[in-house]
Amino acid sequence: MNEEYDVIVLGTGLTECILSGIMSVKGKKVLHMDRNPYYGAESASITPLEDLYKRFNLPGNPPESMGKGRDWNVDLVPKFLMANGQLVRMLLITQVTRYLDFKVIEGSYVYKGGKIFKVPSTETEALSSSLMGIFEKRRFRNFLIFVANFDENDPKTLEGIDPHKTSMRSIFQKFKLGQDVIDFTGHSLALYRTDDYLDLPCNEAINRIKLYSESLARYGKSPYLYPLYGLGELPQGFARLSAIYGGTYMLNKPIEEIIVENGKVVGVKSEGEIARCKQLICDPSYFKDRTKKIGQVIRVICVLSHPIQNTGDINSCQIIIPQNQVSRKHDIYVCMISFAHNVAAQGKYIAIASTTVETDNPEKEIKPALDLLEPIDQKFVSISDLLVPTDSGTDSQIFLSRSYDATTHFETTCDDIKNIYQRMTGTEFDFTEMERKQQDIFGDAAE
Amino acid sequence: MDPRYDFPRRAAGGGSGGSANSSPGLGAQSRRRKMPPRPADFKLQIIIIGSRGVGKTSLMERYTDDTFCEACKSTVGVDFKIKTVELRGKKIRLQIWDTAGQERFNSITSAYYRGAKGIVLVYDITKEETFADLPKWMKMIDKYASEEAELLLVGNKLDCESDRIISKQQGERFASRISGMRFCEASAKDNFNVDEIFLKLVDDILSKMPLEVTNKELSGSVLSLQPEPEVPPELPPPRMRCC
Repeated sequence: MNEEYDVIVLGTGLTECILSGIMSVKGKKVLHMDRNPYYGAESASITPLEDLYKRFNLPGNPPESMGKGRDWNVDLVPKFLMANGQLVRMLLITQVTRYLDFKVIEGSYVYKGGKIFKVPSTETEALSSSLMGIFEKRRFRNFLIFVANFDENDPKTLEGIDPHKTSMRSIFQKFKLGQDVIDFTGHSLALYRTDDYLDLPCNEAINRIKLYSESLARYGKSPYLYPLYGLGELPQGFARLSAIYGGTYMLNKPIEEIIVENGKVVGVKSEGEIARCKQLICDPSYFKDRTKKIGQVIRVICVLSHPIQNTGDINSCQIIIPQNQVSRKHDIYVCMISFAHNVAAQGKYIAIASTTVETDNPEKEIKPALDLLEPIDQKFVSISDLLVPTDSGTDSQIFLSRSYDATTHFETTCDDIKNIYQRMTGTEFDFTEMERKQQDIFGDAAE
Repeated sequence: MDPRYDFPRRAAGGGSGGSANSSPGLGAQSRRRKMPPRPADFKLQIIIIGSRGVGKTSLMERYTDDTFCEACKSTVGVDFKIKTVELRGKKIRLQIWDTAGQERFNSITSAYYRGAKGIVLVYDITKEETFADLPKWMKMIDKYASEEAELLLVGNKLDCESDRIISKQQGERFASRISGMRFCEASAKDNFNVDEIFLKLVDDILSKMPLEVTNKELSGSVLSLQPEPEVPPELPPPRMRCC
């Protein structure tokens, strides 16, 4: 404290840690603080299990059947990484991959008519899948070939459609796809949570399907990756990057006040001292006055002693419950990981169900997902506000991030990071900005 | 440029102790070999922890580069250092991680402890508070480090014997209370006991490992998304960003 910094960052969530890393690598002097004694803020993995019980106000200690408390690292926000997505790209370019190990999620499932079906990940699985009839499969295959060849910049691949005008509904009509296939494509491949996309221009949907296929093609079983020891390892990796490039880190730091003069941030006060800065990045919890609530998400963390039924005993998976299967507006997701990812004690599984809240009885809304998980050893329910900034930071130089949303991966998180970067620097984000600018591994010639 | 900064001397072959027999990873000659060197049999991650200013980076630099920088402050710019040694007939690639200065405000990530097979816990024999801090570090180790990690307690700055506050017995007693923890005193400045402590640590780790490689990578399904970048062979050791 008591110094001048280029950037002060408040909160060590993934968004803030990535931005801190980018700023430090660029040569900015960064001070990064968090009121919590742990990294990750809302995107942390809580350890030990005792701390999770305390956080959710469960009385007493976890039962012995839960094994050693320190074996647990429980995610607060359930997400997976798309293998070909933006977050993986950021990890590769910054080489934060040095600090992480990953596993592929073993399968993706979709709920239909009260049962779950595997989302095909190979040609063979597609042929034998009962998710669509045999004639549909042929038409669907033609559609997928179109999507794979689709290139906005090459008119030959567009087959006469205009990516910025033609609706996705028209595309589906062009390929004569039936309602089942449309639902499957929109919700299990393009990962839309509502059906709003149908009447919007098709380029976004097509690119989302491409992202899914490309991610699936990388490792085969599913398009998703998951870091060992939990999602909380991700912000820590980027925090380390920032520290190596000079970032100063302070956990357990209560923030008393963000000092603003003449509409512009001048610094942050904590424990009687003031640190000055030119720019400030923070998560919504540090400056609630400049946020607005756009909705709520319910997340239920479930501890199980068994894999999910009808998934073939795999140790990780995703389940999508499309909104129209349960008469809702938004899909419900279940993300499941286990001891195989070093996030739970031996033989234990963690399944997190989540969805956007639509009524005043969110626990009832999520019941279809919880029914798939029974018997559940222990549940941890949270209902979180989704906050977005009302101040873009142009004048104040205060750049707030958005809350983590109900989507199943990190694409929207990366979009937020890119957006904040653009607001802060006035220039478009470029992934090469994140490259480490100097050598930081030393020693004798390797291998 | 600090005149006290020694011209880097490679601890070619001899050094002291352990890897006396043909250490192919050391010395300029190996870099000029036409044949690709034999890949390492093991990769081991070692972390060095302890309070600010006790000499963590100095111990690491003395071991990996055989250099010492008196005036250098908190480390910036080092992720980890690699040193290849031969022990028990195996070629071992040591990856020694730096704290990146995050211990300054007690903010080392839990992730830092995770993959470490060996943990060097350092205090300064001339500063009582660095010894009093040890239980705090042990708490972090108990919470986040692998239960199989080898522990080594090091009382550094033996060159400052005249300013000693913590006796050798105090250090020994602390280590004796923790199962499997070894203890010794060293001086990064005078290059006393430095090679020994790392080699002893590696030896302890090896003696507990099964004969076949146990790296996480070999448990089939674990992915490291990209291989570690090669260390460019011709660059000199880093200049610390002093002051």
